[in-house]
Amino acid sequence: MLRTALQQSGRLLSDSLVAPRAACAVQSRYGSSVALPSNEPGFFASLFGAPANSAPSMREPLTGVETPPEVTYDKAPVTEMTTLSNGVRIVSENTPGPTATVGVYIDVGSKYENPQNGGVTHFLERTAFKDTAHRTHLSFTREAEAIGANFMAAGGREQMSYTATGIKTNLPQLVELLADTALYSKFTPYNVQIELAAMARELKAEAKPELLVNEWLHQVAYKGGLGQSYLWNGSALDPEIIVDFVEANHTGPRVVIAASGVEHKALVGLSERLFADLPATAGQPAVPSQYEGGDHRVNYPQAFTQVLLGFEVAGGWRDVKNSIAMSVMVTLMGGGSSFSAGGPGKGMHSRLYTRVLQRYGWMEECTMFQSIHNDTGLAGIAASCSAGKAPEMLEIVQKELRAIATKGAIGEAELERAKKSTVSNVLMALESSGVVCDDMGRQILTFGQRISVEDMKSTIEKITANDIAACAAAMLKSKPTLVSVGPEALSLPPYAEVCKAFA
Amino acid sequence: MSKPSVLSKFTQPLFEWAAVRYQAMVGKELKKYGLRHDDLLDPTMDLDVREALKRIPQAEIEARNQRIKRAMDLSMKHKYLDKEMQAKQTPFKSYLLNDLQQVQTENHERATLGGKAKYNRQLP
Repeated sequence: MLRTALQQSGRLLSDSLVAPRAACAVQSRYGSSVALPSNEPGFFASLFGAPANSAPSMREPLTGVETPPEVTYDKAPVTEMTTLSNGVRIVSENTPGPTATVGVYIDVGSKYENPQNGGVTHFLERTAFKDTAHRTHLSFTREAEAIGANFMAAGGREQMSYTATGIKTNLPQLVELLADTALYSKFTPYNVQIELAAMARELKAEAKPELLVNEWLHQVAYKGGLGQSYLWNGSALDPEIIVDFVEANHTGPRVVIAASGVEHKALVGLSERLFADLPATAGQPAVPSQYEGGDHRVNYPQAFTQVLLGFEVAGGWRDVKNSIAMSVMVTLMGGGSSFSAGGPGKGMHSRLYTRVLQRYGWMEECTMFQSIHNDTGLAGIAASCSAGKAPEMLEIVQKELRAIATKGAIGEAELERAKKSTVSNVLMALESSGVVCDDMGRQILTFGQRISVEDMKSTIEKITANDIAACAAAMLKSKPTLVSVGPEALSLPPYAEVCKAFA
Repeated sequence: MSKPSVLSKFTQPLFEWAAVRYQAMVGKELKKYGLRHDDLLDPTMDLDVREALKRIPQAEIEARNQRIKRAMDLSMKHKYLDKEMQAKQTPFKSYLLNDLQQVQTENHERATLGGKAKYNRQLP
């Protein structure tokens, strides 16, 4: 019935695909004015040859072309890991899709710096993908453009990453370019000078307190490795210092090559030779960090006064259960800025929104922050308000922190919401192959293995309200770290009073 | 190097004989004034030399300037360097040619790969 309806309405496409000869007959019946080119060679083709511009018909499959097998993803991809003889670990997962992300993750960061070479990790992040021993910066750029790849370097206090995203078939080029930049970057005096001058200009232009608070938080809270500022502070960085740092810290056991969207054997075959030159030593040890807490106030003329009150999260990521409870707590507390468009999933039902931002209209921003490292971490509440309310704001922040540490203060419904939200955030983030690659690389560096998604999900789902309260209570036992910036920073109550409030 | 042709089998030994003597003559003249060969490369005549001079360590630049000043002084006084000082000279010790070669390679690469010129200045 449908066929007759189609025929009667004159839409012959479906018919002609099924039976070409019938289509010709049907065309003549309906007198279609569309000149469907027929590709059957006529009589004169044998004498004169086929016309030069005859292209194959797009209505029939091409002859002699092998179509690839249909891809079915009925099994979730598995994470595979290989360790080379010099300690380099290669981990990959064959996520579906046309793109691949490859990354070199190195256990080096500002934690390994001392005052003489302070800022060298920041410098390395900025000079990634420039001149190497094998190619100039221009060459590198042209080669990257030729394969259409994205390159990114991200440095931090504990880990450094160089990542590349591109089409799967370009995997050899991606791995080679990454290896070149990670291991063979060239630091000539001339280029180092130009780069340091550019960094100095940029830091001068961007050194606003609101961007520096995270740095100050770490510098105040920690003595030693983690207390070293990540940003370059202007000290002289000679090429010898940089090369020494790189050689001392880029060693086999501290390098992980992670990739998503690639076959493990192919990746191992490529990386084996490229990373074989790394020494098998443990490299320079990190400068030990000690949490001590403290107070830092900056009277800066800006519209709002910002206050960050943080505490130590002992154990860091390596205490897996505690750090996952911490993550759920951050989702539970949530918060954000008062000028928020809201909407579903925006977190406006989190504790800091319902208990703080919606009650006190003068509060500009109130959010829970966390900065967790391998063995220790910082977490707390950051708040900001306009003139006149800073002492009251600090009171409210202290009250909220004490409240979350009280047993029985967390409702069942909000806990469930927070847990489900955390799980969905993790799963949604892992939809991106770039995040999968990052996850694998950084987890291997921190834990030595990858915690699977199912394990993480089940750990999150087993968190109870008492776990969160215990986690918060443990956190509040450490000395507080108070950083405040703004016109009212100096008029806040003294640090000793803040310590007493949590005693 | 190009393939040795029949003619070059004859001219090459002659060329080498002359080259050795020429280099010795140039070296002798440079020693008289206490200069190195690389000091004669003029940044006002070649932008590549100017760029290469920006890349070498400052200590080399200062030594080059002092040698040039000493040579100018000797030239003004119509004198040559002392015999024992001349014995210490090293006229063919290079400090600039590697960086100059690097600059020229980069310029050539930039031209082939189609990058814009790094800077655009004309010689006066």
